Amino acid sequence: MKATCHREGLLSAFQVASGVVPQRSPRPILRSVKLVFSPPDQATLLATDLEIGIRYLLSGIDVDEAGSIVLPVGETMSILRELPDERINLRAGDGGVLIEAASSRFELATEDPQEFPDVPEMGSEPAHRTKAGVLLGMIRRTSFACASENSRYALHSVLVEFEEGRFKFIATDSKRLAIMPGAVEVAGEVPEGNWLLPPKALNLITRVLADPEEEVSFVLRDNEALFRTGKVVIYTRLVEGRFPKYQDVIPPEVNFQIPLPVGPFYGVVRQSRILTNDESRGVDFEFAEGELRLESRASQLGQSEVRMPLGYSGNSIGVTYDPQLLIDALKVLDPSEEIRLELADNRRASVFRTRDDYAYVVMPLIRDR
Amino acid sequence: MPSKPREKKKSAVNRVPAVETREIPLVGHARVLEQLSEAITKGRLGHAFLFVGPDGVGKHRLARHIAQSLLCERSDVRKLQPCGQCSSCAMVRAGTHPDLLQVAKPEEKSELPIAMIQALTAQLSLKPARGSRKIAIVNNADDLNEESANAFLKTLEEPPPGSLLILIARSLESQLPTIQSRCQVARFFLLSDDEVARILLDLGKVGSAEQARLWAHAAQGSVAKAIEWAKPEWQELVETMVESLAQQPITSHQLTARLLPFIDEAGKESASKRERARLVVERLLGLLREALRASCGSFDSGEPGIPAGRLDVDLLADMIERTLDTDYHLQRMAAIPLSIETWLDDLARLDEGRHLDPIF
Repeated sequence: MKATCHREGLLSAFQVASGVVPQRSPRPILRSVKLVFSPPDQATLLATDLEIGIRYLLSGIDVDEAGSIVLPVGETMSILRELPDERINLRAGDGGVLIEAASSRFELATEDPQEFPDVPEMGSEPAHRTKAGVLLGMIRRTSFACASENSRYALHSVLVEFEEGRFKFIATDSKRLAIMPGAVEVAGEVPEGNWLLPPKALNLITRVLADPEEEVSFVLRDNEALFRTGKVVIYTRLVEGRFPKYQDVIPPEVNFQIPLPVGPFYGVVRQSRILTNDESRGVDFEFAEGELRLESRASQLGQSEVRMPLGYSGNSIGVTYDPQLLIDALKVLDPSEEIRLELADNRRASVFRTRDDYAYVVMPLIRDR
Repeated sequence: MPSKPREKKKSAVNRVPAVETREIPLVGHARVLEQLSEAITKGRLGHAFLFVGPDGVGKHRLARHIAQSLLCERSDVRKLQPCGQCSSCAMVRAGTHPDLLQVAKPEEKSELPIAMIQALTAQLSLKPARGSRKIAIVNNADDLNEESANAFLKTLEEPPPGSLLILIARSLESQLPTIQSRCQVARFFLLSDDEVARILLDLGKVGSAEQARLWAHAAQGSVAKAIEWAKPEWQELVETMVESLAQQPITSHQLTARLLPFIDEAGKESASKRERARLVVERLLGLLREALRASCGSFDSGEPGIPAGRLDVDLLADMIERTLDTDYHLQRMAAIPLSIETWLDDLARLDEGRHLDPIF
């Protein structure tokens, strides 16, 4: 293998890849990336941590001789950063890879490319299409609601579902549930299935996607999912297991509909959280005509009462929430937006809905009133 | 492109037995293989196995062989004979196969930490990357502490579809009953001298068949020990031991002074020192055993040893018993220098015809 590449282009590919490659691993080859050169002018950079992976297409490379090499991420990135040259030569030599520039020469001991774990490719199969902005919004509004790593593993994931013209991301940790739909151009029939994406993969997508107008195509296979945008393909393995029947927690009837402006509501919830602690985490929300009153009380700390004007003119209702659960969701919403709180009563799940069909379901804390 | 192994860095994350780059034939344990191959043929391969047997007889080697066979893309699973050529086989050998997970006790720890088990179960919760199977090999299962073992129970009882878990342990007794009851047990026994000798030759660890036989005999059925004892530093140590024991009085002080630094060199961590100390005790035990055999007129290995007739049978029996006690003390975390010093002093005393104070 022999090629000449643009140093900065290669460096930025390495920077994207380094987000995937684990910093610590028992095997040096797993702290490396693989480069596959194909004539006349292309190379693909592959990086993986065995759960997620990335394929980054580099062009504008003079490939003299096709082939693959494996490069250690840390050292190679330092070399690329330190070299002043615009173009560098890469060559597979005896027992290692040579990186040559005008006045420098590095010989890296490397591993056998055949031993590098494969990163699957997006084939010619039909792919669904959406916009980067849509996908990013869906990730931002759902991934925080996943359960932590050490709980049931199906909950440490985001569920993907399809309906006519839309797809949905759903996440829950059993105390709250976030559902965000987005427009999609489905390839073929509306797919039916149960795909669970690990949060790690969603993080990577967030880091790689920049332009919201960019088109993203994706395929969901039995065991893996692939997302492609421009020159990057992101690969992830899916999570095993069954996602809970989340529809069942949303009460069928709505007895109270309360409009809430995100900015001011977020403000009062943050205030009311101050005087709460682990023993008394609940804040009492009293929705009344024209006014919302929040009360919190914590032994040893004290108590608080916060008021906010409310454009609501129905029956009063008092509900107790863990303010942190509301804050998590309010944080990712636009402060100028108005949302609607839908309640059946103060014991069953409450649903916060936005105009763009985002639903955030919170279980109230039960308190005797 | 030819590959060159990079310098081995000590990793805090994980210690997995060294990678074998060459394919060496599997030797021994025909019964275990038969048991597994039959289960696969009948489509009744269990989801969790506990490989139990002494150190260095090839439990991990066999577990990896099974893993490679199950993950191999070309050969028939039922034959348990991986092709060794396909990319899955290459990745299994290199330790990079995404569907083969391995954990082992970190060298500097005396227990298998819960974090490693949690990471393992999290990885097992992903769907397989290449085929339909995922295999997890848990080395040092004796060193699962209660916390880690309990963190593992749920996965062990009901692993995600397509998973095979192989736990590798020295003894069945050191496993929690909850772990035992969730696994099929496959027992491994010490290898025969011929088998050890053949493996030593296959591995290229010894120069001649004669040497292979010698070390195989000294190692009493364990390849790992044979490899260790064929090293020059152990050979020198044995010479010192023989020298000390060959004459009366036994120069226990000099021998202690020689052994303790050798044990100290094993590493910074007390776990590795303790391991080395137990090997030292075992090596000397081997010499005593050999002397006992010689004095009964049995097989002579040709190994340099304590001159025949120097110690009589009764004395040897007492010395062996005292040595076994020392191994027990070390296993139960007694201070290493103290254990070694009192042990050698006691051997000298026994040799002088004295009785020992009871230590229990």
